[in-house]
Amino acid sequence: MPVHLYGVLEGGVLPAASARGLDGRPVRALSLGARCAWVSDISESALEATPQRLREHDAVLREAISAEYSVVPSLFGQLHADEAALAAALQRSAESLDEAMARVEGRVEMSFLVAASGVAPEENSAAPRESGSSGREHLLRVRNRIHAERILRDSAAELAQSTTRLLNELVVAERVVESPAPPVLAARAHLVARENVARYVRVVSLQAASAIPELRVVVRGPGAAYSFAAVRIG
Amino acid sequence: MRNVDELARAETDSMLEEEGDEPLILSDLLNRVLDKGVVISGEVTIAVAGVDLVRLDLRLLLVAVERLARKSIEPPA
Repeated sequence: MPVHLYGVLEGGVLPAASARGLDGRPVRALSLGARCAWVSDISESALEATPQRLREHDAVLREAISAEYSVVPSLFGQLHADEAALAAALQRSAESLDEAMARVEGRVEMSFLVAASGVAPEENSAAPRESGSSGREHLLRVRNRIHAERILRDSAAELAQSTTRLLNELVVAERVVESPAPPVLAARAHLVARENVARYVRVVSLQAASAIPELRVVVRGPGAAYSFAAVRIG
Repeated sequence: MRNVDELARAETDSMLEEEGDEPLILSDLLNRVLDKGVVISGEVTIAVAGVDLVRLDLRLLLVAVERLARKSIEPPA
């Protein structure tokens, strides 16, 4: 039966008996010498990605992180034909796994997102009023809107940069998310030692409080280090 | 007494709850959890669960394809 891989952990680390993964399936540990793989049995030969399944995949690894295990996460969508195929694939990836395991030892991924708050900027009295219906006024409105969006995006980038500077001492590695999906305007992921998680949240929270009303900052984590240690097993 | 991780997590979760912005969380997951795995593995079909996700999924797919293309021209390490 195909197995879906959530991540690789140190040997002997077991998920809670009540742990549930994709579509509510039980999560079990497949012991592989010094390591173990957390997997679920999947009846399909191909797995369709849905937001719900993404959350479930992530939730399994968050539970492991919460239990203070070191986790090398698998990106969503890595299916293996059966246990033997997965074991063989892990064996082939042993070197990469060793490196990834060393990277995540005692560390987690934190991230922050900068997005538009939905608060409209103050009305520009010079801007054309909605009542105007001429083509020129319509184009002016479009131009003003594009201009405002550009200003917001630039402000988000500056805020992300200044936040990153403040986090410098706490961060082991950084990934800048290129072209983040809307509604996010800027995003950074960081590899952080567990003992620095609370300080990370505090720094980002302070930055969030000082942001202009049109922007807001959301901090996420601690989670699995997808951005820094995800290994392609296969 | 709760440890540092639990405290930070509680604080983070409460922030997210207050924000109540599911698209932000989903955007974060799409950017990080799927990434290149979607395209390289070829095992996953992007599903669109709602109107609001269409753009997210398309953007993600584009980014993933771009990364795949970049990877294919990089010399092996």
